Amino acid sequence: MNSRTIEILLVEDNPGDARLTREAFNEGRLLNNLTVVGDGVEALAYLRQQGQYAKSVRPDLVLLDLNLPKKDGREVLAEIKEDEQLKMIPVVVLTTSAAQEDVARAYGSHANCYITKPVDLDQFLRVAQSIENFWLSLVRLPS
Amino acid sequence: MVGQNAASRPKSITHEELLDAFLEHIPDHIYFKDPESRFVRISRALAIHFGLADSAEAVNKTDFDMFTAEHAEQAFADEQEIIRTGRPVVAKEEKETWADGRESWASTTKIPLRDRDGNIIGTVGISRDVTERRRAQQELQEYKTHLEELVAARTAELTRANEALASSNAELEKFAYVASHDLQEPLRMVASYTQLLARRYKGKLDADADEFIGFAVDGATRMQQLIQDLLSYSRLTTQGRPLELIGCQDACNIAIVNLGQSIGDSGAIVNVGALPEVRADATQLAQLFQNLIGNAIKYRNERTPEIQVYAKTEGEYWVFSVQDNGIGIEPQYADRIFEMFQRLHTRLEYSGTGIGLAICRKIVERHGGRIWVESRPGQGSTFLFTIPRAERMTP
Repeated sequence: MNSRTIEILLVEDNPGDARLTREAFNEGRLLNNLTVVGDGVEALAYLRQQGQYAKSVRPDLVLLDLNLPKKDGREVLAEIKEDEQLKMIPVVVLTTSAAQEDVARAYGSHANCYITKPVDLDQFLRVAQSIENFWLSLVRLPS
Repeated sequence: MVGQNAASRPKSITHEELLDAFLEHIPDHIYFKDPESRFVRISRALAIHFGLADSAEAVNKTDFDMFTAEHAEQAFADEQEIIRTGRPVVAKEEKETWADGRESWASTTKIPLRDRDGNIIGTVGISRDVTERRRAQQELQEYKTHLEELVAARTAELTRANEALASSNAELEKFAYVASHDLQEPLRMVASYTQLLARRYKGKLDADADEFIGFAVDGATRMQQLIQDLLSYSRLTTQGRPLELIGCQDACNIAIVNLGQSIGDSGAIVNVGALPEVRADATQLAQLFQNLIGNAIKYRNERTPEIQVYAKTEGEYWVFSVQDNGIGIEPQYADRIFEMFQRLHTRLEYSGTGIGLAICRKIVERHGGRIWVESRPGQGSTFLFTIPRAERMTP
């Protein structure tokens, strides 16, 4: 139903993980444009179209790692969800942490969903597929 | 007859004779003193103690003639106090220091000596030599003190050793947890990208490349499994929950449900007898049953797996048994199989890292029991473990 290019912002400091996520979404069916930023400060600057990101496109979906330099994912999540302009953007927390307190805190800050990165590649590819199927195809998002 | 009676009566004894006989034979030291603490009469035993040939030699002598001045002064003061107040000194243990330097101990009772009108006319004392008893007591006390010191020192040593052990155990577990947790991250990269290589380039390079990639993927995957296992092993203590009274039946049922796939695939028959309630960590108990029943299915032979799960009491313990009709275990490996990462088969025969039984042992030990195996190769194995009996809370 959506023919335009999907905009995804990936907030991830590990280039290996970033590339893997890009590869995973490249294997998907939907045309998407994945932008990667490496820390929390960059992420908020991108979303608020500040500085070098003045011309950035507002993403349809944010994939957010929790452990990030400068400003970590937990703070970024809280700031997005407290920002009238940004809070409608779905945020998928995608992290290696399986800690209960991280899960609880993320949902407490209104994360739209929380996914622990699977260790196995096939499972990781399935996760990317599921995100695409659910968040970018099935659900109706504000335009 | 009457006359005979009268003739057998003992002749009367005078007070003087009685006193003489008494002072002559009593082994205690008895002495009468005048108000100035001079000896009036002493018992024969005391005369010998003083080294006198005749007790009469002591008359008009004082303690100053026998003992050191210090001791004699103390005795004199005691006696003057008795004469002044009329109050006796009873069973006073005192050290006697003799003029020649010898020391002895005496238990002394001194009382005021009164005439018929009740006037105090001196003192009478009875002393008993208690040097031997004192020495024995002192020795005993010394032994006791020494023993107490030994026990205290040993206890302190054990406490220190215990603390060191507990802290080193905690350190080790923390290390295992941190190491395995932090190792996961880079390993995930290695594994993911070798898998991605395989996915993208298998069959597109040459046969050697395919084989190399295959080994890399296999190694990374196995290492992931090892780290996962190490992590779950260390979590048994770091994330174990407090022991509560729970039903083993439920724990066993959870295990069987979790094993649904392999029970279905193998056509295994699992019979579960009546299982008791014990104090346990429910998750870990279920894992214990799952590992044991899972092994019973995994190490099967051509026969349909038949597995019996039972419990019986033995003293303070429940003894649980998981019996199978599988391949069995050679007796020389009966202990080794509970060690971490010990395997008896190649990965081609049976998969796995060799953590399952190590986890079982750790769970059982955390619950205060032990685990072992009885087996006949080719006939099957019975894994047995104990858990202390818990009093039922409900009547």
